[in-house]
Amino acid sequence: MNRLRFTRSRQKAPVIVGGLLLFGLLAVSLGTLEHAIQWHNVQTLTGAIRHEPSLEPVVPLTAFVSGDVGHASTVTKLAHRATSWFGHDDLGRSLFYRVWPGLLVSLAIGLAAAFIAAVVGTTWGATAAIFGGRVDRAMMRVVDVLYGLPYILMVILLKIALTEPLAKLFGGRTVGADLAILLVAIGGVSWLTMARVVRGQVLALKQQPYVEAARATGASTYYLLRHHLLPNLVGPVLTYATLVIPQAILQESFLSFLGIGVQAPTPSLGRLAADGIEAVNTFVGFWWLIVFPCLVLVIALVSLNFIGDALRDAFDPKSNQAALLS
Amino acid sequence: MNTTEKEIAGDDARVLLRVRDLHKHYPARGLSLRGSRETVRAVDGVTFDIAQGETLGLVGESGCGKTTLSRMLLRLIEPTDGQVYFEGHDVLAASGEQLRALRQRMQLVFQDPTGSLNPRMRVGAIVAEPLVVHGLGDRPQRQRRVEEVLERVGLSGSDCDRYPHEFSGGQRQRIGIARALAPKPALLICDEPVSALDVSIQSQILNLLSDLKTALGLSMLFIAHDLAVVRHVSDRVAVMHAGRLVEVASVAALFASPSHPYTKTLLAAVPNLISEPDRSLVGDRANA
Repeated sequence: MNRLRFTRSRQKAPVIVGGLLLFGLLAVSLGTLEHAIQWHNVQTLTGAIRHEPSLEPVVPLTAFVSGDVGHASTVTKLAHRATSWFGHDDLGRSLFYRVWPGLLVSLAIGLAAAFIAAVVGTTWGATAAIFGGRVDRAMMRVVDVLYGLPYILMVILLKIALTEPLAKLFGGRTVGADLAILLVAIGGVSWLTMARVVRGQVLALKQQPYVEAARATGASTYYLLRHHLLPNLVGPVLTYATLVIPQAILQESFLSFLGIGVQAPTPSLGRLAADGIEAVNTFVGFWWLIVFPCLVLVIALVSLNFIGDALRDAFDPKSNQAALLS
Repeated sequence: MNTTEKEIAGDDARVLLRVRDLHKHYPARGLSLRGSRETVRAVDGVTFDIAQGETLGLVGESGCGKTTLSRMLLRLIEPTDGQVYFEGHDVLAASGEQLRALRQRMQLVFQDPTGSLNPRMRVGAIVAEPLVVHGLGDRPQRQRRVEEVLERVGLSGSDCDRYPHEFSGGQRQRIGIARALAPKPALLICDEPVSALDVSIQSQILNLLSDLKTALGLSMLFIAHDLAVVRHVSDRVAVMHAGRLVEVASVAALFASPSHPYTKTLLAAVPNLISEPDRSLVGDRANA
């Protein structure tokens, strides 16, 4: 029923900027992915340990292609030059080829967490608010209890309880099990606030005269949900979901630190930034180790926020007025 | 009470809505520490009839139970006690499909023209809502009916694709009226339909309602707190005070010689800016 409407230049500008930025980041990430994986396989301690960023590559081309240097294509040469753009870490690994796959991992975790929060939280909160009374009280007490549990303890218990069965499920590979636990841990917390937000919203919507009008004419609960409640929930849910993404990315770095989730060689932006902070604490500031992961993280989050705002406006028929007033 | 009972009895065959001794009591949540079960009698024994094609005005101050009463007729609020018959059917005994069928014939017009229209729905979808809910007609038939009622209330069929926020307050109230008319109701319950509008628009909406009533043979329960408004549209007026109907009389009788002291107070409270001699309230004010 609601057609997406990206009208008025005021609204357009952030969407275009956000969309282009995110598109650019994704393009670079996917474009460099092949080289990142190759480079990860071939790299050894190259002597470029904690080498600062430079435009000229410090690692010889032979180490990068590990084959016939003479026949290296232009693309390969460019990819080789890029190895030193973001500097090298304490094992001599090219930060450039760790930041971009790290972005992909972080975004995937953030989006998955936002998706879990949106689906579980909306279902839970809306159900509680629609049925009301005892059902509502019981369901919201569950949320309260989950809120009250110490988060880290819960995650560690989850890790202990689920690693074995999940590893079996993934055919003996713990990487899959670790990621699954990570998503359960992040998703398991992020939907709680979403459920509360949605419940409050539905309770407010239920009081709206237009909902009463539909009830007065004999509309069923399903009709109310489909035509009045859900369309009016899209805005708040999207807004809150865009807030969940950065939270999840930050939680991921924290959980990875505890040994849950993304494990050592696999990069994620949170992981890289956490490593970078340790490096900066020494006498010499290896600034690039923290600046580049954070810079990419900031750009990604800002563009996601722009897109989230635009989506919310696009679902709100009144937004044209709002944009003019603000 | 006897005189009012006679007043409202009317001709039995022509009675559309019959309300007998309707009650709604709420448990009071007070500071009572001893747990004594006090009740608030929001509606306390209301009895009246509405005849085919008649408009009954219902006046009373805020909080006297007017809205609770109107919601009970549609079972949006369950009455504590009493009887409601609509077109000969027992409303309070109806359930499921019967209740849905009754709700199709009784439609509400709301006070708040902005809040009663979903901001995310186009006008066409809003007006078609009762038709969709009751499964009346197919899509093109509904579209035709929507355009028909929109034109009936003074809007254009081409307004279907616009959103409520693109309209003025008076136009939004017209949309609300069009929605109520769409499923061809017998009774229109208007809950303060003009009190949120400014005065110049009020008369337009009142005239529209009067026109609709004569053109479509509608019956109306017209709730308001403004006596001038009620006088304009009603055939008879019921005065409500603290959950009870204190006086029910024809418009002429009520305004000429109010019998209940509360009615007199109410009449005396009307600001007298119009200096028509027959509407002069000076005498009443002296009595009150």
